[in-house]
Amino acid sequence: MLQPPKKKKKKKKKRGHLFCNEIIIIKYSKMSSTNEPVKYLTADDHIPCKRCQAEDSVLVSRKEPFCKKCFLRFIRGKQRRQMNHEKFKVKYNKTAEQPERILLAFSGGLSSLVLLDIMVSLLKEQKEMHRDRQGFELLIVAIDESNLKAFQNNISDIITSLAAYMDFQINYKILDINNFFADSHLLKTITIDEDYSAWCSSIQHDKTYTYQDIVNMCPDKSSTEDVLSIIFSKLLLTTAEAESCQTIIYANSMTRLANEVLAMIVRGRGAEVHQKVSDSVQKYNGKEIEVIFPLRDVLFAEVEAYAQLTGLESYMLQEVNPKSGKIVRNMTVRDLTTGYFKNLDATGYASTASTVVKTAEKLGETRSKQDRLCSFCGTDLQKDPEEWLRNITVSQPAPLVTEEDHNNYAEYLSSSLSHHKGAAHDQRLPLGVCYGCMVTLRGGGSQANSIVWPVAESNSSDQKVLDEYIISDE
Amino acid sequence: MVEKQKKIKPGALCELCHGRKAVMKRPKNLQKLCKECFYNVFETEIHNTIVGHELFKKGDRVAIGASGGKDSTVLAAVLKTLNERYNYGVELVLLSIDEGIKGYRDDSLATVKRNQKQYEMPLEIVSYKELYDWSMDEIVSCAGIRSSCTYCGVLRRQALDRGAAKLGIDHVVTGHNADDVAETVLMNILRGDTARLESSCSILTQSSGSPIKRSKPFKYTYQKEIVLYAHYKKLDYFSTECSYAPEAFRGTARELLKSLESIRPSCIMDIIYSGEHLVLGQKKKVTQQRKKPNKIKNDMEQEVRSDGSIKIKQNETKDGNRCEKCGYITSNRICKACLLLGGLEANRAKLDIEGNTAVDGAAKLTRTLEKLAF
Ligand code: SF4
Ligand SMILES: [Zn+2]
Ligand SMILES: [Zn+2]
Ligand SMILES: [Zn+2]
Ligand SMILES: [Zn+2]
Repeated sequence: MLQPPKKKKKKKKKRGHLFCNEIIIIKYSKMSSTNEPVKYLTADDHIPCKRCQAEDSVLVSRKEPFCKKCFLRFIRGKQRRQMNHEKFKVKYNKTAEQPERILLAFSGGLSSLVLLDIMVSLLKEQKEMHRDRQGFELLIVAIDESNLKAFQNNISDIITSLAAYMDFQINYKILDINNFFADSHLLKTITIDEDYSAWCSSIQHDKTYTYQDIVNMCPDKSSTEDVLSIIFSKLLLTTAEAESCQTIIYANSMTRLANEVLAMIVRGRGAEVHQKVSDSVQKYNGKEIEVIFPLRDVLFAEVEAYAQLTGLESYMLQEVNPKSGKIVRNMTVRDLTTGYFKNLDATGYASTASTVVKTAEKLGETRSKQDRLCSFCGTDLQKDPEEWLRNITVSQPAPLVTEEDHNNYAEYLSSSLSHHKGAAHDQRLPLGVCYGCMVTLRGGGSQANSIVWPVAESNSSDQKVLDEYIISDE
Repeated sequence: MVEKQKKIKPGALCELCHGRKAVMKRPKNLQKLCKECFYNVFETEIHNTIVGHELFKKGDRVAIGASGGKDSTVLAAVLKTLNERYNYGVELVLLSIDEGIKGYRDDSLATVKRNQKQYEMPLEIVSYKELYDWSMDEIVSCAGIRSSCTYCGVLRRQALDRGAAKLGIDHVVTGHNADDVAETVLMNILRGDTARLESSCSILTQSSGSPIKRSKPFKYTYQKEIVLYAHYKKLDYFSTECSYAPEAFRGTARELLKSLESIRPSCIMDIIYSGEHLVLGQKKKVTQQRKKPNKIKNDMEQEVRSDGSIKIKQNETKDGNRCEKCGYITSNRICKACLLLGGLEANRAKLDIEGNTAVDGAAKLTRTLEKLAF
């Protein structure tokens, strides 16, 4: 656990925030090294490690000097504490039928490299201490993004060389993101109309859809980003179930989780925060799958330090043209929230992230939760998001007064602009879509938008009747 | 001939009425609108907010917290319009606070006085100097510029209440807009202010035992649209910002929000929607339940949630307590305003005795005072 910022220090923390003003956008001026959350020491410093009292320290984190060994143990200890459950420990009298299987979501980024290293070190430790037995099996699952972006290296090479480096056999699986759209008879067109109503209609099934097709239907980059994260988490759940993994572990650091909380709030997904950021049990096809964030108490700066000290950083998946991230216009919601945390100074960096995550953990279910799930992302539906929007985004025109206005209107009606309206609406069914997905599917604008998406057949025929005939639940 | 010249290409028409020329892009969703349609959606959305949350009843007397700035000027104009159009039957009064900030408040009060004539509403001005014997300028010179808004906020809250009470009014509407609310949601999350997490989004608040309720009819109204409305309606407002800087931390949230709005205009609404759905979870409730036996006391603190439901906070014995010094409602022995002013008073006394008002002396005192006060 991160030490809660001490009361005495409050004053300092506040002052820290004064600096954020200038740095949020464009002026991404890096902090001076004395102000970094993790401070690296040189050989000349000769500060003894506080833990072992033997070695010289290599860095200072959370105000404590660490030697390399003690720092790695400190960070590994964070994971051990998060996954302290019996089921991950070595059992001698265990029945062989259902070994505990953990799916590690691997992106090739620093955090996932570090989490993999930590998990492997745990397995090695177990084998050493318990005559070659393991408490669990580890499956690394990566989603191949190579047809979305150009990379200098690739995931399977990374994993192969990591296995050699760690001297440990790593089982892995690489998923094609297009698998998400593979089941063509589930694909439907989801439309969010101008009045925020959501509709579902069937499509011609002779076409196969790829992720790129879906991206082209997204109204902007922030939408694409949101859609991608929905696809990722669904694919991972599906894979966990198919591979009989009872647990999924994500490598998100505390900083990343805090960033995620902020991004969710910005996307209108506040109601989901409590589920998505806490360790939770998710139901998938009737099976329960536990989702854990073992690095939730580790700052991203500490992840970086771990990767640097162990040399893991050289294995990182590298984009050919990484985002330079200077022009606000080209940024996504997550770019901006990431920038916000990145540019807090040392005190703010640690305390704000921890405050945000702790606050998120205190949240719970809303009162307006319905007994239905969003057909797009699968989250709980809240009461009438479209009604909420309609009340505050009125779309009734002011009456036309002059003859000239009427003439213009007549002209408009006869022009092509009005033609697409009212076409082929008879074939479509109303659909329950959450607020966050409405925003994602429509973008910030006033236009209707459609996207192709796998929509699971509702298995209750009653629900079908309700969906088909109820226009509004009021 | 004339007809032909006036004909507008269909692509340049307002996206709502398709009959008039679009003159603006609506900040909320970038829809291209004509002036009339913009007025219509702008006013109707505020009307929906008022009616949907039952902010007013016929015969109510309502004080508009008027600063002369754009938010409150537009609020006065729109409420007057809506009151007449939809026959709310409320009596509107302007209530202004004179914080005593030279070059800012004296000019803006002149604007309020012009508004008073224009909108034919009674005006009441309550000044810090009269009420507390301290003007903001004096407070700042004594306590430093950094905590100006802390003092000012506490004093304004009480001044508005006292002003309303003086007018015999129990409802103050303020010009807080959607940007302010979204900013507050972000701030609460960033500083982990769980106490305010749920209430910051409520449109109508009334604190324990206080006879005065407050509401924000502009809760869903974008600041940029308020500016546009004032511009097209040629409303007379005062646009200079207060010379004392806003709180630094709020500044960071504001910057973030501005960048977000530039890439996704709906994000202000989206954040408010999120804010309305942030609920403290069960763990907290479990600890509360343990206290149950002595909790039944009661009551009174009501809060109308954005979905219209009413939350009654169970307050412990503190309810209806009054400040020993000034009689203002407080949950402590002495109210916040008296506490802050007490600190200042001690400082002023010292200054008088020493007879030394040299700048560095005052600055030094300021620093010590800040340490004491916070
Ligand atoms: S900016 Fe601060 S000091 Fe100025 S009027 Fe507002 S609250 Fe008062
Ligand atoms: Zn050591
Ligand atoms: Zn959804
Ligand atoms: Zn129009
Ligand atoms: Zn008092």
